[in-house]
Parts: sequence; structure tokens; C-alpha cells
Amino acid sequence: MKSRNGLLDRREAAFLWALAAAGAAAFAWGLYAAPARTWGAVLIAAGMLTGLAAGALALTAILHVVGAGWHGVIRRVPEAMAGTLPLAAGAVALVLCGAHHIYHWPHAEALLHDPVLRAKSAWLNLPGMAVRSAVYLALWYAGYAWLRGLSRAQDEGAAGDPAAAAGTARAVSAGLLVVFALTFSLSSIDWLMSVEPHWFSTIFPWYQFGGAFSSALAAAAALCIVLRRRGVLSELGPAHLHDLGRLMFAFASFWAYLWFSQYLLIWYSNIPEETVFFAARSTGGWLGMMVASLALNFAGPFVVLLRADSKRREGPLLLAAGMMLAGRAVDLCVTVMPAVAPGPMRPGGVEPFILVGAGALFILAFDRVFRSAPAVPRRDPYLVESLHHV
Amino acid sequence: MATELLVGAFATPEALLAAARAARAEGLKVRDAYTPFPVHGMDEALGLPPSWLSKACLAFALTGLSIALGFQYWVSLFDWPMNIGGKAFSASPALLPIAFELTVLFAGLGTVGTLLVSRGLLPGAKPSRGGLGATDAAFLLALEVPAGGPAALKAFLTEHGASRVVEAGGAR
Repeated sequence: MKSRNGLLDRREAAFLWALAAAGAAAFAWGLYAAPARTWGAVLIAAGMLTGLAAGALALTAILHVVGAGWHGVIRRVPEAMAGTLPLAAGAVALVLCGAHHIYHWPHAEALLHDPVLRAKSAWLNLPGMAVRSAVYLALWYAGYAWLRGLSRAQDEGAAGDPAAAAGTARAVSAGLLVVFALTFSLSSIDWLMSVEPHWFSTIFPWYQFGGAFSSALAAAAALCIVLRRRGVLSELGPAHLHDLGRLMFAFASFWAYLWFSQYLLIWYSNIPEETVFFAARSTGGWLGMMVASLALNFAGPFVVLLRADSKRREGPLLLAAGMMLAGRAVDLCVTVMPAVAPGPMRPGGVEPFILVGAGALFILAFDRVFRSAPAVPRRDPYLVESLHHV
Repeated sequence: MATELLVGAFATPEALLAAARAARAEGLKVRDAYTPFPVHGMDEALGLPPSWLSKACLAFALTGLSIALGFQYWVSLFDWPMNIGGKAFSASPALLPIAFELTVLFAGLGTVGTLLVSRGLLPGAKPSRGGLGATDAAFLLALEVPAGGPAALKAFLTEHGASRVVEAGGAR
């Protein structure tokens, strides 16, 4: 008997394809109507997609490294999220196509009059950016493919010793995390921090990791819940949700800690070349977006998830996950938009469509990868522990 | 003192968990379980209500937050105002790190302190159920003796894998 394995049925998939098509249409219209903001929205979408996939990859690797006995039941969810890396790579490729609209530093005439940008051009140039982006994404995908293969070796009917696969996965994950820390930091600087090429913040990559990892945890928890409701992950119990909820709570706080660390030092030293970032983001309506980002990424999830029992229940977890995913989009918007389309904040017409379209594509890509393997690796040596997790 | 409890010693936390679940399923009254480390699922197996320690934790956290903010505002607004980089005396971002640290410190120490005091785990405390190795290496389940006498209860404990069963008074 072949039971249902995927997340979506045909009608839902068709609906998501329609949303993606609407996003593509909004993108095409935006190129004509408001190119700067449209390309900015593409960068935000690329930030979301790379963050979700890379964050899920880091989560998978961490669960392997620490030997988390509880995670066997949920492992295929972050694994399939990491499997959406090709989609993220497509978004990054699109960003590179629009680099002239998004970034200031690829403009030759800007370099002529700007000694700072000239000095940085050894790193900030388009060929270098393209090569580095390809290297980051290729390394992540290689890590994903390796871990996925080892995980598939623990499926029913697969050849090989599942315990040996678990041991190898642990070693591979340890190496992958070292590579990931370096490449994710550099990718944050390349893709996001360079929208303000004069500005610099040494904590920025950490802060971006906090956001990406939080959003990946939120998406993983939400996908687990929806999958269980559809009878796919029936082994998922309140204890697994509790663990995911604790991680969401911890990393919402971690994000806020890093956001504030960056803000406090810049506010305190009050040096113009550093404060320019927050000056542009606390005027013309952007302050409200920054406050919304803090509320959605930290304050809301903190309050919702503070009680122990709310981390075990679907409702509060879905609410917190929704806030954190929306918060990640708002956070990226506050980071990107004031640089790409300077001036006061105006509610977007095309941006929401592009972001929703990207989200629809993410869910479709996730479903495709998730469907390609059994929902639970039945020969995982820790699975018994995970099934009896309370 | 009359025998109120039967205490069974189990070899593993799994056996203890199973016995606790079975005891509650059969309607026996479980007084307490004693383990050398926290056992996952014991709360549910014993049917314990959620701990009130989290409320103490919140109270201590709010105390720490109030003390930190109150003291810093008092110092920087009234007692010793200092001009630092031209910032307002009441500039709040500078107060947050200390507010955060004192909140966490009060919450952490206060919760542990509350636990120790409320459970009588102060220096000089006598080990409870000491003879059976509670709080050392034993997994103990204390059941209340029903009106019908201890015989059936003893059989229940042995049946579920207790290696030793002793009678005990109601005191801890």
C-alpha cells in the first residue's frame, strides 16, 4: 500500500503555481513600472529563500552533530527544505542579473568619484560576486546532497549499515558547519550588506544568520504541523513540537540579541559612517517597519512561546511561526529597500506579489523534495528514541 | 507511625516510568517518585500539575528588571547625571544590557533558590528515603497503601519489576 507522502494535493499545487505566476507577472510589470523596487523585492525574496534553505541545512547538520535522539521523526522536513537550494540559487542568479539596479558598487561611474568604493572594488565586483555566490551555493548543495544520501541509506530497503551512515553523517555535518559558518558570513556580506557599500558592521553576518535560522525553524515547525494534519507525519508528538518551539523561542531571542548588539554599538559611538545605516532606516516611515520587525521577530514570538505548554500546541506554534516568517521578510525589507529605493517608505504594489510568489515556489519545491523520500527514515538508529520522545 | 507508603526500588528509569503509569492506570495513589536525574515523561506519568516554579521565575525576573531600570534611571537622572557623548540622561538603549543581565541573574538564582528552599534542600538536610538510596542511584516509586492493606500493593510493585519493596511512614 502506498500511502500519501506529499504535502500538497493537485488543487493546492495548482493554486500555488497560480500564485507563483502572479508573482512572475508582478515582477514583469514591476520591471516596467518601478524597476528599483522590483529588483529590491527580488533581493528580499532571494534572502528569504537562501535563508530558509541554508538555515535548514545548518539545522540538519546541528541535529546530526549533537546526536539529537529526538529528531529522527522530523528530520526529513529540514532536509527537504535544504533541498530547495536550487530554487534559492535561481533567485540569487536573478539578483545577479539585476545587480546594476540593486547595488551601487557595480556602477563604473560611481567608482570614478568614490575612493572608498574603488578601494573595495577588489572584492565588490560583479565577476567576483558571481563566482563567490556560485561557490557558496555549490558547497551548501554538496553538503546537502551528501547528508541526504546518508539519510536515504537509513530508509527501509536501502543498502548499507544505517549505524555507519549515522556516524558518517555526524562527521560530515561537523565539517559542513565549519564551511557553513564561513560561507554564510561571506554570503550575507555579499548579497545583503553590500546594498550599503560604504557601511560596515562586523556583527551583520551573525545577525543575518540569526534571522535565517529563526525563519528556517519557524518554517520547519509550521511544515511539520501541516504535514501531521494531513496524516503524513503521524508520529510527530507534542514533545517534538516542544523541542522545535524551544529552538524557535531561543533563536527569536538570539536574533533580538544580535539586532540590539549591532544597534547599541552604533548608537553609542555615534560615528557618521556607521550611523548612516540607521539614519536612513528611522526616517520617512521606515522606523515603523523597524519596530514591526522587532515586534514580529522577537516580542510577539517571545510572548506567545514563553509558556511551556504553548510550545506543545499547534495554534501558538503556527502563530509564532507566521510572525517569525513575516518578520524575516520585514527585516530584509528594512535592510534592503532604503538603499535600493531611497526616500520615504511607500506601501508596495508589486513587492508583496513577488514575495508571495517566491513563498509559493518554496512550498512547491519543498513538496517535490519531501515526496521523493519516505517521510521518516525507518532504519535511523535513533528512531526508537525519537518515537518514544515525550 | 502506621505504615502509609510502600516504596519500590526499580533498576532503570524506564521500569519506573512504566510502573508509575501502570499504578495510575489501576487507580493506585502515587505519592512521589525519586530519581537521581530528571526523567523525561515523569511529570505526565505521575500526573503532576504544571510546576509553579515558572511563576516564581517570572516574579524574580520582573524584580530584577525593575531594580536594574530603577537604579539606573535614579543614578542617571537624579543622583549623578553625566553627559556622555551628548546623549540624553534618560537614553534607554544604554540601560538595556544591565537590565537584561540583572533580569536573567535574578530569574536564574531566584528560581534555583526557590526550588531549594521549597523542597527543603538546604545544607544539613537529611536525605529522604535514604535507606533505599533515593537521590543517589535508585529509582523509587512511593505508593499510598490503600484501605485493603499492603499485600496487593506489594504484589503490584514486584510484578512491575521492583527489586526491593519497603514500608515507610508518610513523612518525607
